[in-house]
Amino acid sequence: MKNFWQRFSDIAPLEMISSFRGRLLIIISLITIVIAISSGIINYHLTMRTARDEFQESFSMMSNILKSDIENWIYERKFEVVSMANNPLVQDALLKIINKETGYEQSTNDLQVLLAHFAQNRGIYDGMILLDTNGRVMVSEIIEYDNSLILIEDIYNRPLETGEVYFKDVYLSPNTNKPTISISAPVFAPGSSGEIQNIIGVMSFRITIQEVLEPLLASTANLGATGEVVLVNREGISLMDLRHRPGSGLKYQLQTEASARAARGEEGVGEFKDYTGAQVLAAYRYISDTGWGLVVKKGQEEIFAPWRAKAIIQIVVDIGMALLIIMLCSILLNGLIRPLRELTEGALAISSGDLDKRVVTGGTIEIAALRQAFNNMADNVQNRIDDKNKFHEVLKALLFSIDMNTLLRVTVESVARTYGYQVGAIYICDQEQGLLVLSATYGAAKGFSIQKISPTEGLIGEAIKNKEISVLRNIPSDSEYVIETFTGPIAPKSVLHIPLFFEEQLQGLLALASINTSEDEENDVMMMVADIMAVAINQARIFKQTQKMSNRLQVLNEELTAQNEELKTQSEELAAQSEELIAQRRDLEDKNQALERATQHKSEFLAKMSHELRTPLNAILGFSEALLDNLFGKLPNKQQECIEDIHSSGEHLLGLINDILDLSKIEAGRTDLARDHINPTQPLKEALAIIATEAGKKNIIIENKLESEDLLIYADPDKLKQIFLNLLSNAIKFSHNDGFVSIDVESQTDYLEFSVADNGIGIPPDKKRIIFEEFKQADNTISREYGGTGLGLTITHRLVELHGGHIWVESDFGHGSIFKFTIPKHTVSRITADTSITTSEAAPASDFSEVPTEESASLDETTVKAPKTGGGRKYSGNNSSALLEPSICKHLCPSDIQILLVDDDKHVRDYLTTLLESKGYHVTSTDNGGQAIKIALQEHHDIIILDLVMPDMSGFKVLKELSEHPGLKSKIVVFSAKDLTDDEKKEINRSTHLIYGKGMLSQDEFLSLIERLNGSDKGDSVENHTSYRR
Amino acid sequence: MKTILVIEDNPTNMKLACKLLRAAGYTTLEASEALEGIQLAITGQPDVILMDVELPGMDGLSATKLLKRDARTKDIPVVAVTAFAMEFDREKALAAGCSAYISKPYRIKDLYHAIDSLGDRPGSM
Repeated sequence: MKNFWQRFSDIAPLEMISSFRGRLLIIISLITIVIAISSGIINYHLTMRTARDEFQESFSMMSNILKSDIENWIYERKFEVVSMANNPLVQDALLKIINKETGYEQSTNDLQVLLAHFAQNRGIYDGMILLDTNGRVMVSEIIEYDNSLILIEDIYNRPLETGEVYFKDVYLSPNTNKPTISISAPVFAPGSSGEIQNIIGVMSFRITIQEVLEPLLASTANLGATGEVVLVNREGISLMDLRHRPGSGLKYQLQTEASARAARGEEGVGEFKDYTGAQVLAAYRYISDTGWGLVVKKGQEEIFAPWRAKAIIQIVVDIGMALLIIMLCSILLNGLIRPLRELTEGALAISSGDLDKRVVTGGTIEIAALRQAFNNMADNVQNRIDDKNKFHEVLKALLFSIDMNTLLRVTVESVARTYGYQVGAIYICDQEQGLLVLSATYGAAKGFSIQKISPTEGLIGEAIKNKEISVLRNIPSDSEYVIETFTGPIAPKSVLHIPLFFEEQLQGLLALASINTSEDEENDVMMMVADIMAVAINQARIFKQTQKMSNRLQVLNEELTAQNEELKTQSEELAAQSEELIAQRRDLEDKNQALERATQHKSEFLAKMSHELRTPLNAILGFSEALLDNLFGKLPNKQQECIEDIHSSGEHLLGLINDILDLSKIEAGRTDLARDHINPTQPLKEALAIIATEAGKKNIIIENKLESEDLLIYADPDKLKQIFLNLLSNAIKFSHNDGFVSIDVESQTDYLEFSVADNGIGIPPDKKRIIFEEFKQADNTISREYGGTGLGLTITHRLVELHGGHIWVESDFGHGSIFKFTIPKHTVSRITADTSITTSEAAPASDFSEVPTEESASLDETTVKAPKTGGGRKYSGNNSSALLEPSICKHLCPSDIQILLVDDDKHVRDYLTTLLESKGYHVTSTDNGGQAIKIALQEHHDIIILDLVMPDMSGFKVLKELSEHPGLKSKIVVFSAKDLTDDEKKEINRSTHLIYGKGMLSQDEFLSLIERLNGSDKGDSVENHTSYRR
Repeated sequence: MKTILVIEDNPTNMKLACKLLRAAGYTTLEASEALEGIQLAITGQPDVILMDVELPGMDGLSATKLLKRDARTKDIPVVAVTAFAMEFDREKALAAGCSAYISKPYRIKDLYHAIDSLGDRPGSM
């Protein structure tokens, strides 16, 4: 037992929960204890209930007996009084006495004797009286009562009134001082029936109840230490002394529930509190004749004490049983756990390296099996590890060298020694010969082994074919196989032939011989050894090959290095060339840019030249015309002719200039087409009106087949007019007098094809292509003969192309020409491509075959790229002022320059604004200083022109405020009519750049000043240009 | 007869214009620079101004704008004359306030026609 507890308490709380034994013990303990406690409790309650039931039954019985005893006794007393009252002797005697008949005295004596005798006999009666109807005592066993009146008492009245027996409740008798009751009954006239009018008197007995109370007291004595029988009257007053209240008879009113119920007339059993306050078990009964309550009770403590003791003993026994079960379980579990612990220890020992560890065998069947299994497993592990170690030895040998011969030698020795073979040999497969060649041996005598083996024949051949180990055992001792020892040759017991395969390829053969019998289990291990040997042999072989390859690679590498050097040199040369190329390209780009600039200059030059030529031409044409018109008087004929020549030459020159200008505008991409969907008949009519005179002069008929057509094209009407005009004037020009010109149109899907035909001189086939080029008329003599600038067709060509159409000529030399051109009906971009193709057919040599189309021209206003033939020319598209005066753009274009003009004089503001705006500057003007400061700080202005004298804020103040903002980069020019003192000049000079007196500068000077300011730095201008002129 | 102010920097052309105008019976005023022309316009109150567009310093269109801003000269019609025969010059000239436009070299009848087309200036002589 002590051992058990010790073991139990040895278990740490955690182990208790986590171990199997602990958990099982806890569960069993809980179950048994719960069962024990619950059965104890149930048992206790059942016992208590039984006890209560038993007691209630016995109390009921006891109280019933007592009740019937009391009732019987009361009945007997009533019977005695009634029978006495209605005894004929008594009736007669009383009648005699009342009526005072003769001999009534004798009767009185007789009755007195009778009563006295009766009282004496029974011993419980006293005060027996006989009354007449007036309440006068007739006869009494107590002499003193005689003739006294008892008028008001119920004993006398009630029987008279009701004619029935009357019961008077308990009181203390004045005679005996004992608890007493009175019973009175009416005395009827002799021989009469029981009617009230026949009552002649009343018989009343006083009866002590001691006789009743005695059995009750006796019962109380039987109710143990606390039990009691109590009798109470209607008011709950105890009729006798209470056990725990001595001397309380008829004095003590009980307040308890049981007595109250009994007094109320109820009967039953229950648990209550008694007058001492103790818990009691009580049975209560009602005695109806008297109105009394009977209570039999006993303290619960006393009743249940023995039962409780019994129940507690039962619980203790249960718990004891539970503990016994737990102990038995624990012992049983220990028996189960011990072998497990032993096994655990064994496993731990093995895992920590003690491979020889085994557990004791035996025990129950199951445990014994487990122990045996563990030992077997340990044996297995040991064997495996032995195998592994052996294998390890072999592996070590295999890894010993990568050199084939060393590898084989070391390996065969290692395998043979490790696995206990006395002789070993390795054959290596010679691929060329197809034979296995002996390569290394161990333990063999000289000349022992066969040098070469065929891998396909005999036992070995079979082994190789099946890829299995061939084992020979039970070799007879006279066999040819022998192992040499110092005792002479011994026949081996077993010979092994193990083929060595690597990836399905035979590498060699391992042969082993032993004087011991080998076991089959070893075959698996030997197969593994063989696999690894095959890998090692293969690797050694590959290593050999790799070495050879490596040598060859080295040679190759050296060659490559040499080649590489060569390539490097070449690459450097190439890089140098590339740099040269880049330089050349840069050069080309520079040249290209120069070319672009030149092209731009050309266009600008042409425009400028046209303008410059017009000015003198105006005078030439004007004067000559005036002279021809005889504005200055009539000229002589000869002079008239000369002036006509001058005039017509001037006209020709003007035509040239106009055409050149037109062309230059087109080339510069500055011809904006005002295109719309229009009917071509209107422009044609206008053109016809212009050339009508010319045609009239030569009497040429012009047929217009368009008149009735309802057509629409997408074109600029002015340009279309120009196209018609050029073609028509050409047609007329090259037609003979009385010729014929016709205009026609043909509608195609996307465009209209116009044709202008004449029957003039025509164009030679070889010239058809060049007539669209500048100054290329079909014949150089033509211009002399027919006039014209030689630019008309070129311009027409350009205009048609601008519209996205194309133009060509069909001509029968000597018989006339048909000029045809197309104009698209809608905006179509694809016409552009068509154009270049057809154009090159019509005028392939043209420099302008790739003039910018309308589309590309509209993309960018300033520059338009044109094409391959020109080598990337650019046409300037700047506005007119830039074209005319490129010098303005030296630093910044005026359009980028913001000028703030501050002057209170409106005329000055208007004048300067107009002047500056005419040069393209952006001018903001204001008439007061405060506003000027606000504008200047809000928005950057390159130049501020400031008046000094202004009404709201002087120029001085403006200057001062502006100078407080160092971030302000504006250049300030002061213009003032004010006479300045030296101090004022100094002050202004600190913060401004230039001061000029108003009216001191001409327009040119002013503009060039602004221009200079625009291109100069602040510092310069202060130094160089500050001046003040009066 | 009407007075015509000719503003023109080229002396020969000035001479031509004046001769042609005088031949047609007009009185002429001559100015070779814009500012001079404006001053003369204010003082001389001509009926028509023949304004060369290309002038040194302030150009003719700017001068026209100034003239049109001044109450004293704003009612005088201005005929722009230019040798710079670009299309947009006409629009520019009209935008600047010119009433008519002729390009150099002009035909005599063009000149007369331009002046005649202006009609009589209200309140002129």
